[in-house]
Amino acid sequence: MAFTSSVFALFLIIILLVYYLVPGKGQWIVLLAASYAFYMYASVPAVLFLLFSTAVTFLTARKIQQIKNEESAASAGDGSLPVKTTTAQAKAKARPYMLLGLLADLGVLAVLKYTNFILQNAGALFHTEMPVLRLLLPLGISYYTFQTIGYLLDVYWGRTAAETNPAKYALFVSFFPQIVQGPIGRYGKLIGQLTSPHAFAGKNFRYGLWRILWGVFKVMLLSGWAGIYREAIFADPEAHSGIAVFGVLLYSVELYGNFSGGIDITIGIAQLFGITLDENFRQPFFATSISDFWRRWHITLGTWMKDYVMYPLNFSKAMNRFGMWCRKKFGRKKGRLLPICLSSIIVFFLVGIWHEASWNYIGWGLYNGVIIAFSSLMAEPYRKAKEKLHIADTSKGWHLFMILRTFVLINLSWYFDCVTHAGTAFRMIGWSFTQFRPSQFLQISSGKLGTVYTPYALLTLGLGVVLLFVISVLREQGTGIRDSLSRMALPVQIVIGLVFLFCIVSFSPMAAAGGFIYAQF
Amino acid sequence: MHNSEKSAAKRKRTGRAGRTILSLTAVAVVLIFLNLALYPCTFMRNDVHTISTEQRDVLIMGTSCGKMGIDPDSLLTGTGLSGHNICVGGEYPADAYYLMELALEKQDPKAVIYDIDPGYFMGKKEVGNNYLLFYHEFPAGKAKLAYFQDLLKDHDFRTLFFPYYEYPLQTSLPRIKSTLYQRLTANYDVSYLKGQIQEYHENGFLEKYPVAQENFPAPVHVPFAAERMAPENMEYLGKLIRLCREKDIPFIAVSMPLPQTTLQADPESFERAWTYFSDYFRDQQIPYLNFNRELTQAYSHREEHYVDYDGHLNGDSAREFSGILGSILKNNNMLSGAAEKN
Repeated sequence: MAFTSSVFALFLIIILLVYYLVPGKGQWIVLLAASYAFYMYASVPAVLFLLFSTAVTFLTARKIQQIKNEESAASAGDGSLPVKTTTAQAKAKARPYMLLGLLADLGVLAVLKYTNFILQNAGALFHTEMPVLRLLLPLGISYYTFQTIGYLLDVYWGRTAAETNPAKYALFVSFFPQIVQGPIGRYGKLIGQLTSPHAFAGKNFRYGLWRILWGVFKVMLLSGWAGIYREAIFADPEAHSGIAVFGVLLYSVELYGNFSGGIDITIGIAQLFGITLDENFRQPFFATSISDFWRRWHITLGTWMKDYVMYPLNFSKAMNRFGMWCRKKFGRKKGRLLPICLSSIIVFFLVGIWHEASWNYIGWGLYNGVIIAFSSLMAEPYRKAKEKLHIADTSKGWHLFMILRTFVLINLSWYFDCVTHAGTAFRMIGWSFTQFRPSQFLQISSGKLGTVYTPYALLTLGLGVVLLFVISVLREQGTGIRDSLSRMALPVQIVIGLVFLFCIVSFSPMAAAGGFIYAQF
Repeated sequence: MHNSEKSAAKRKRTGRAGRTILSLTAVAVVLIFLNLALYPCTFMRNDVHTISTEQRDVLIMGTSCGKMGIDPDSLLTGTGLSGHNICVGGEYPADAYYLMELALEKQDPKAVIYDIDPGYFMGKKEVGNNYLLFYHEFPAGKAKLAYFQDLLKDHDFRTLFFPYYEYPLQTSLPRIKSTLYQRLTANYDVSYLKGQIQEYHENGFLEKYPVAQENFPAPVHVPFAAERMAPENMEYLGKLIRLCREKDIPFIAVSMPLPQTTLQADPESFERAWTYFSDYFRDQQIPYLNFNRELTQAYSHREEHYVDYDGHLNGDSAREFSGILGSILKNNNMLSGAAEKN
């Protein structure tokens, strides 16, 4: 049930009506039923995997909590042990359950997502034909697995108490707006909101609708048109060599429009129910470095990786030993940096493989990790060079240069996203600098409307990108667009909303409602 | 809390709810107006209106070749039967099935003639316009609900809430006045559907004015290969045949004559298609009249009869062909069941 489909619109209207009509205490049950209905609409067998993940992490977390409670009760009873020792003992006792939960939860994801990739590579390595297994990849498995693992580790580390109500926990795992493509939620932030009563609030509702409208604009109009031209360019790179650079720029618009627009719709839908989800984007194309980009793009994946992979890795015994070895070998400064560089590379390798089990994505992940690691190592020489050249970090010119440099680095990696052979990507990068014939756009058909409509469609897309840019600049400067809108008189808001809706409906491509790109991960 | 405070809070809540309801109503009114004004009145509106309000004995279903090639009046001369042509470009077996469901909901058809264009069986139906053409003209009822549930529910929300999106504004804006007039007065006058190149008739036949061969547009040919057919097309054709059989309605399949240039351009593909459908209809015990193979001599394939290479006949040729088709049906007693029921 795509968020832009007719059936989802009807589904949402019905759920909203029921949600605000039932007593507050029962609202979370409506959400749970809706979430499972939504999930089962996509696939009934996939629900078994969702239930498995929910049950395993719920039960292991409960066991961990029980051990912790018993340990603290015992130590409180005789008072013989200091608190730290008790916690350490409890952790040691709970560790097998935490590992069991992790193994079972991650195991399902690993088997379903990576088996064919491993078989395929083993086949290539041993020059033998390997079977391709027909494995079901349940909707949102990469997202809900990360949510459940996060919860399990939070309970294990004592950041949160284990949930006692399995149905409430099931809602946290399956909440329908976010199960498709995130944002990856945290138990501590979400559970209270999901299970507490929400009275209808006009402001929330209006904000939610604005957010949905903005998301639909990005998904259908921007991503829709950009996708049509990007696809044509990458389908026949030779014929479109004069617009190769636009191919990757269009991919930026398509991917950002599709993913961030989808997240806008998700956050907007949740807001209609009075629930605030974490933001997943913060003007990523204004990032001044790759690490800054990852603090602005898919934020919840980045913070998840930081909290549940990077920090534990940095504080692990193995990394400590590696750090000590590095300090001995390369001195204090570099020795301190090298373990961070290594963990960056490991984290981005995981980010790559989380997206998709393919060498393309592993390469893309490593590209990001290596750039971040290299930047950390070169921070000191860069600082010295800037001092010599009298470049101030605060100067606008330098800031702009950094933004452009990051944008170019990001886009260079995306050439490889759109092709099957690295050679094609390199050729297209070459053409981007040596060939420029924008008239080649006129040969591309605008879907059902043919080539005659192409100039108008490009104009529409261009205006859409300008609007997105202006809004992004305003948001970067801290302007609350929806706050500004909500200060206007209600009839004015309605007119603006209707005009915007009319433009989306009339000027998006006729076959715009594809799925969400990130839903496949 | 004092009573006065309570009532003030209640007034505030009521006011808020009132404003929300008023706002949503205003939005709904504007959206309904846009749909009324910008969604043009097509001939499908007339077709669906006819079959859901008037009794028609013979329904002609299928694609644009059928729409422009079969005139029900010429076809049924002397039979005492009435007919309506509900073919349209983009009518896939799924649409025909739900049109038949609708017809059965509203009247009592006695025979179905189905125009088989093999090209239509090769691909999936395109999202958008062709669905809207049918769905939004269906009167509320079981058939409309089933059509939505089966074919439309996963299309983007514009299909359901903003059907005008499939029609370019440059064509729908100049027509606003007449569209609104026709919709608001429930006017089904066919004079609105007369254009410079074609004329729609009350029996659903679309008469094309002759076109010189040198002005024929480039042909759209989809090579036929049974293994590459979209399975849902045969599935719905089977469902349609079963539905007719259940209701004891004779079903006759027809492949319209094609221009000789077209037939000669890819004879192997056509031969594969004719063999496939001959076998299929033989298995189904359905009469199949193919004017390109078994009945190729029954009607001329010269280009002068057509308006393009895709097989759309001009008006006069269509009437002539319909008469021939009618004679074949009569001579072979294919419509006798329908006449008896009548």
